[in-house]
Amino acid sequence: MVIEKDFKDPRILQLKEEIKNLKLLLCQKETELSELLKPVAFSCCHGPSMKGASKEKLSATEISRYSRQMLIPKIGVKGQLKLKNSSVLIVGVGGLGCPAALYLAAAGVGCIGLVDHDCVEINNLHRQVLHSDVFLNQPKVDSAFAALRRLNEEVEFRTHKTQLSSSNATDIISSYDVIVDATDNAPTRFLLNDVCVFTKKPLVSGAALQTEGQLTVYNYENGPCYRCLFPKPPPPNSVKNCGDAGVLGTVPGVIGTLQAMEVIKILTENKGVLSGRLLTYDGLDASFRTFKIRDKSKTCAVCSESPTIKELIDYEQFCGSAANDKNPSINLLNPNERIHVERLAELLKTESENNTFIDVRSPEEFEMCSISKFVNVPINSLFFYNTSSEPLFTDLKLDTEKPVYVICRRGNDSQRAVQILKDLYSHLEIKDVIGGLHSWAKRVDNDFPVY
Amino acid sequence: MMKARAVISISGAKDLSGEKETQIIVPSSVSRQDLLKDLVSRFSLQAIESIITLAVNEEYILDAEEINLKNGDQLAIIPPLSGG
Repeated sequence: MVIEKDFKDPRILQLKEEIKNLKLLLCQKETELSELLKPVAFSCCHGPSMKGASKEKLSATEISRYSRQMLIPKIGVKGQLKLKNSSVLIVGVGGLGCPAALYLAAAGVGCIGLVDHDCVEINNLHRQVLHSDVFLNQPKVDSAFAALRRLNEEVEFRTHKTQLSSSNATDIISSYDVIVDATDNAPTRFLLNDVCVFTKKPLVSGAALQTEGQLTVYNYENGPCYRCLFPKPPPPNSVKNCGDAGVLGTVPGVIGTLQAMEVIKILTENKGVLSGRLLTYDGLDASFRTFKIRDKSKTCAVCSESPTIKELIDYEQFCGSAANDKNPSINLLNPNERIHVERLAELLKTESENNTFIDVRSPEEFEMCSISKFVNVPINSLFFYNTSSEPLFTDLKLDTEKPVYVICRRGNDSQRAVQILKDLYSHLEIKDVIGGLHSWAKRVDNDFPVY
Repeated sequence: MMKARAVISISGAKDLSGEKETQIIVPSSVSRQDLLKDLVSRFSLQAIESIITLAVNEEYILDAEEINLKNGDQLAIIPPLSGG
């Protein structure tokens, strides 16, 4: 027989709390120490690196520390010195940025800048490997800084806890040698591209979704830029984000690590930089493919000889979407077609037999968590019924007379589903639940999982 | 019209098309625009039509080119990924 540990044991809870506080205290002390160790004045990353170490020479410790990579003829002392005297900006300290920063710090890049305005969320931790439980709800740049500093105190880290925008991007970017695009949204990708073209910086661009990733280097030695390849922004909502489509942690792990590799090649002036080529990775197939993409476009709006865009623009407006990977709320229904979660709780308690409850999330999401009495009818299957004459409710053995209540994760898809269902069953009372399961978890059942 | 049997792979769009790699019969000489139109309707890629890129034998095909295809050629549809 297995005796279950009582995790509510007050001593266990007390120890957990004490250890968490000690870890935070340790971080504070480490920050204080690194502030004291900082050289008195430096104006930018090209200044002397931390502790005024020599730019022209490697110390005995540095030689020992980096010996294994310096033994490679293509790196050597020369390459290591180049890394030491270089600066890299990592934009986005998430699934891609964490592994990229980890390897660049370990490799001894002199100065690493980190840009992110987000805080660490629990759903980040499976892939954003610099962050840990202790830093939940703390700024990602602070969390990453603490982890990276522990890895390599010789590196100078700069944190930029801000959202990169047209007003600050040029200032931030111009003091770095190479820029890593580890962002999660189209507006920031276009912004980064344009700044890098204007400031003449190579842009090492990675992306990951589900089990696939992409990697290329833009704006390097007269190679193409992002706009040469994608002159038009993606239609809003056409490109999926990790929060909706999901991502396996190892995929950004692979791509972020490859981004660090490209940065190292650029900084050490090695050949073979992935410019003019796009590498795709499919984790499920275990396949890498490299496509020859294109030369610089002669009609590119930013990097051609006659550009039409000569300064930064409003990228959220240009893309028609926000510069984050969150989904905005939509409002498609009238107030009388919607109920609040409290009303749903009442209905489930007292009149569950007289109503039909439909959850329109994907089968994967439904399996993770659901409210009892709800049947799963994924919204994609509704689109199918919408264009065919097959009787949906007969198929699902659902009553065609009872009122229908539709729920989803956040209250957007449920509205779309109500509209489709009303077209199919105009005689029925069909309503959606405002705010979906997120509201349910917040206002009715605090133990319901939020994702 | 002469036809060719090509292998097509669709990266980053498996959700949209429901397929990863499959054989298709295509005209052996076709404009990029017509081929793209055919593939978009065949694999229901309307939502991302304006941004997908098309490669033949691991090389991107640019706008104005006339494409000659033969049996066994590798077509690839590559939409930009944005997640990170």
